[in-house]
Amino acid sequence: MEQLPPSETRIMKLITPLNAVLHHLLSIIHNRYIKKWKRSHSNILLHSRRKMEHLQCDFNYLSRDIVADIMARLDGSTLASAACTCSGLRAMARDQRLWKQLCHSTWPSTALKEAQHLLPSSPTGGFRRFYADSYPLILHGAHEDAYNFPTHHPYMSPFNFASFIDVYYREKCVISGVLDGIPRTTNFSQDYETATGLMSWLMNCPFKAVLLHVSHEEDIEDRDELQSADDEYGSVSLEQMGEPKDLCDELKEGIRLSWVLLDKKSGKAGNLSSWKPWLVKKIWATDGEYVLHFGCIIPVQESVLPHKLAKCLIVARCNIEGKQGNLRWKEISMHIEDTNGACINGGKSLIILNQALYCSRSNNPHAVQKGFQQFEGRKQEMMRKKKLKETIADWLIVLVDIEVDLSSFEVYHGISLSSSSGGHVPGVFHQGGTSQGVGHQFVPFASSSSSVPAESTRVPCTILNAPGTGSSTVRSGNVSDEDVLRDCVEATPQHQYLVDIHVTQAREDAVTVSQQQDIHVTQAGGDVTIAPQQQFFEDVRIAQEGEISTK
Amino acid sequence: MASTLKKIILKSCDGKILEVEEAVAVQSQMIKNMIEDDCANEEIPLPDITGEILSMIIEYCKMHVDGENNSNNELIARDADFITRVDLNTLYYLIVAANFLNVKSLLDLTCQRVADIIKGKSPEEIRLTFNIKNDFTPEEEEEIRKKNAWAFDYKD
Repeated sequence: MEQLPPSETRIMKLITPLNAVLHHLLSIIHNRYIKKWKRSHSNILLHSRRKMEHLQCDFNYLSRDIVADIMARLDGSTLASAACTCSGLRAMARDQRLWKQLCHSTWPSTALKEAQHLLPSSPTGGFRRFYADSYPLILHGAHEDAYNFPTHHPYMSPFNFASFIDVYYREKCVISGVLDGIPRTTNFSQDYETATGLMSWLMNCPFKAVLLHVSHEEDIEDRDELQSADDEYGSVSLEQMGEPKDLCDELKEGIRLSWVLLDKKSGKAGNLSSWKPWLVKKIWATDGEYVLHFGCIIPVQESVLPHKLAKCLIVARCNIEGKQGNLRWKEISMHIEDTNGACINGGKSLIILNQALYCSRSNNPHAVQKGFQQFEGRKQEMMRKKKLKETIADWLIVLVDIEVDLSSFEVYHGISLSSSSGGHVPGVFHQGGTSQGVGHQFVPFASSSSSVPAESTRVPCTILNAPGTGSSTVRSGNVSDEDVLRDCVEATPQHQYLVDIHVTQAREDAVTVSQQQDIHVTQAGGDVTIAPQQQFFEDVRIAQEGEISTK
Repeated sequence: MASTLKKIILKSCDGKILEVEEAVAVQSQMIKNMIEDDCANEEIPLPDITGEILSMIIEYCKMHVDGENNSNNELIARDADFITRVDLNTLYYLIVAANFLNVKSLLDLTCQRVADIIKGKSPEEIRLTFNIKNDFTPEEEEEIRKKNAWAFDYKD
C-alpha cells in the first residue's frame, strides 16, 4: 500500500467512521421505508394474491381507501344506489363527509356563510337526508299522497322555512342565495313581526317569496351591487347568441334552477323547482326581458283547495346584455297558484308548502314532466268547463231573450218563457275573477253560478203556456264540434218541463251566433221542439251581441 | 444530464424484465423514493404486477413524460383514449398496481373510470358488473331499498 501523506491519512481516519455511520443510517432508512410500504400495502398484496385466483374482478378485493376514493367520485343517486348493494358499501355510503361534499357541490348555496347556522342547527339527521329529500323532484300523480300528509297542522310561521336557491348555467352555478324565513315582499304598513300583523299578512296578502327583485328605478343604482354579486361566480355570458328564438332555446337548454325548501323544525326538505324551465319566453313589453318558469305541482288536501292541486311557480326574469350575452337577473321569486291560476294567500301557502315536503319524489324527469302535463290538461279542462258554463249562462239569457222576443213578435203559438224569479233576469256580465281573465263570466241565477256540477246544470225555470202537441225547432246560435254538454233546465212542478240544451261546439271566441244549435223543450214524455223564424234568429243575434260587448 | 439516461430495471411477478428510463420510472412515487434512497441500482422486483399490466403502466407514464409540453386538453384526451381501451378486469389490476407503485395521476384516472362505469346504475346492475355479493337479509334489503328508492325507482 502506498504511503499517504500525513494530512490525507488524517482525513481518511475521519472519513472511515463517518462513512460507516452514513451506511448504517441509510440501511435503517431503507429498512424502515421498505417495511413501511410493505405494511401499508400488505392488504393490497394479500388482496391481489387472492384476486389472482379469481378471474372475475371484485369490489371487495380492493382496499378500503381505493373504494372510498371511488365512492367520493360518485353522484348522489349512484351513491344511494351503491349503498343498496352490500353492507360494506352501505357502511361507506353512510359517511356524512361524502354527503356534505355532495350537498355543497350540488347546491353551492348550502356552503354559503348564511346557510351554516341553518343546516347544522336543524335536526336534519345529516346531509344524507337533506340530499335524499332535496335532489329528487316532487312528483304529483300519486293522489293517495294527499292522504299521507300530517292532518294536523301545527301553527306555521313563515319563519319556520328556509330556502336555498341556486341558478346554474351549463353546469356552472351563477347565483346562490339563502332565504331565512319568507321575507315580506310588499310594503305593508302592518308590523310583520307582531301576531296580528302576521295574521293579516297570512290572510290577505298574496304569498310571494322573493330572492331577488330589481325594480326599474333601482335598476341603475343597483347595477354596481349586482355586478359585484356576479363577480363572485365570474360574469356569465351565453355560449351561443342569435335570434330571440335561439336565445330562448339556449336559455331553456342551459339554465337550471333549484329551490330547496327546508323546514327548520322538522328538518324535512324538498325541492320546489323542476330544474329545467317549463317555459321560456321573451317579454317585449318590458324591455325585452326573458321570463323563465320553474316549479312543481303539489297535491293538497281537499280542505285546503277544492281541486286538490296547487302549482308552485318559480319565476325568474333576466336580461341579456351586450354582444357577449351577459345574463343579468332581475327577479327570482316563488308563489303558489291554484288550478284557476289565482294566487293563494299566505296562510294556505304555508300549509301547501308544508305538504310539499311530504310529497313523493322521483328522480325521473319524464314522470315529473308527465305530472306537469296532467296539471296543465286539468287546468285546460277546467277552463273549458268554465267556458261552457258561461256558454250555458249565455244561452239562458238567450232563452230569456226568446221570451222577450216571443212576446213582442208573437211568433209562436203563445209560448212565453220566463224565469222562476218571475221577472226578466238582468243580464249581468262581469270580468272573470281570475288573473287568467279569459272570456267573460255570466252569473244568471244565484243557484247556478258556483255550485254547478261539471256535467249538468239544473236551473229553475218556468215555462208558461205550454204549446200543444206540435213540435218545431229553434235554430240559432252557438256552437261546437263535440257533444260536450247536456244541460237540463227543470221546470217548476206545476208544469214539469225539461229543457235540454245541446251545445255541440265550444269555440275560442265564446258566443257567436253563426252556427246552429238545437233546443229541445221536452214535455214530460214527448219532445216539443221550438223553431225560430229567420226574423227571430236575427233578433237573438242582435240581443246577444248587445250583451257581449268585447267579442 | 446523466441521471435522465439512467435505466431502471423492473421485474414483474411473471418474470418479465423491463428497462425503463429514469424520467419515466420516477412517475411512480415509489420508484422515485427508491432511487432517492439509492436502492434502485439493481432490478426492482414487483411481486404483484404482471408483465402485461406493467407494460401498460409504463406506456401510460411514457405518454405523460412525452406529453409534458402538450396542452392540458390534449393530455386529457389521450388519458381518455388510454382508459377506454381497458376492460374492467384489467382496470382492477391497473388500480391495484397504480396504488402499489403510487402513480397518482393513473390512480385518479382509473378510479374515475370505475366511478363513471357505476354512474347511473341500479343496485342490481352494480352487483352484476362488479361481482358484489348481496349480504343483506331480505328485511334489511327492503328497508334500505325503501330508503334509497328515490335514486333508482324509475329504472325498475
